[in-house]
Amino acid sequence: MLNSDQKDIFKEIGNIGAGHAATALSTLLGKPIEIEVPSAELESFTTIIDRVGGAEAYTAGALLRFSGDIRATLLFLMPLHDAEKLIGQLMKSEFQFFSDSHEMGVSAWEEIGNILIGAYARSISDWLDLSLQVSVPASAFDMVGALLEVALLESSTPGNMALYIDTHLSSAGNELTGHLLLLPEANAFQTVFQRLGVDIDG
Amino acid sequence: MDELIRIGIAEYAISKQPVILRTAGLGSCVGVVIYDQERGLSSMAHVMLPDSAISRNREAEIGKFADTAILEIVKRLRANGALRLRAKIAGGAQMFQFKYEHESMRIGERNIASVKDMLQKTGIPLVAEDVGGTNGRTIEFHSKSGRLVIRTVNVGTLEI
Repeated sequence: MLNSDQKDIFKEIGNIGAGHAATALSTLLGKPIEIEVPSAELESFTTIIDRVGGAEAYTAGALLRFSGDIRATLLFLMPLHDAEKLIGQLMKSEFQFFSDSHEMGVSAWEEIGNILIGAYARSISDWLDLSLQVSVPASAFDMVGALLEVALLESSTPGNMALYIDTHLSSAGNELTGHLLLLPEANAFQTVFQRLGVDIDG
Repeated sequence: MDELIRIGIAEYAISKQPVILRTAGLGSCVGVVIYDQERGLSSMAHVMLPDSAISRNREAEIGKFADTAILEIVKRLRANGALRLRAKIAGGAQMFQFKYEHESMRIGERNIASVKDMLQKTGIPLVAEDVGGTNGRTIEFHSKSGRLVIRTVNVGTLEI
């Protein structure tokens, strides 16, 4: 779908966001965190659902909306189990969702999610060079198919495509997986990808 | 064991055989089951949006919208001899809670309203529902018994 130059652009955007996110997360957790971006690609929703483990995979999500010159949704997803490990580091004790400490963990994830998704949002809006406002992020913990629908609805793009950036976090011996999706609304799709140097018809 | 048919987002299926119809990870989308138990006809749709007026390619997107999906399914069920159709629905949740909401974020509620409106227009009684809330759902319809089993991550399993 994308040629190697285009993939490099997306990867670079992901890397810059990851750099900001790693610095901020390291400070929050009080220990070094590394974030790598192994790949970036334009993917269909079907492929993305497979990549994140199928529609029913339990997942933590953080989401924000861009508005202004264009409307787009940015969604960060992490397998629930990985999110629990990361939250456990912040809370300095083992953590499980839907346990007694659920609410505390939700607040912790909101903090982590805000930092992660906020960092990527800055990186993306810098690249796009558009006038964009960013919403307050929202969080949810559920089946990934259900979480993705939020983004789907907003972006009836040709073939239901999204920019997909794979991320790997390593911290204190834990290897964690994250998935970042940028979903421009249908009429913003062209603008976004042109600005990123991608001819989606080509 | 009856055959299991999986229905993806914006898809639908109709069966004349005893069958289990399943769709996974419903969020704001609505799962619509329309069936005639006496005649062994069943269907399930995973509708995404309330109204096909926004569609640029309606033929290819029948299953995506509440109005087109329900009209098409009912037409096909009736063409296959359905006489006593009933409906069960589940879904239409709001997955992310926003502090400053704009209208499109209540898409779940709009999906539910549109599905109910279409059922009424086509004269199909809605016999059971599990809609709204903030949880994703996986649903499974067992055509022989007419049971709709609904699974959520943290509220457990429900049968309607």
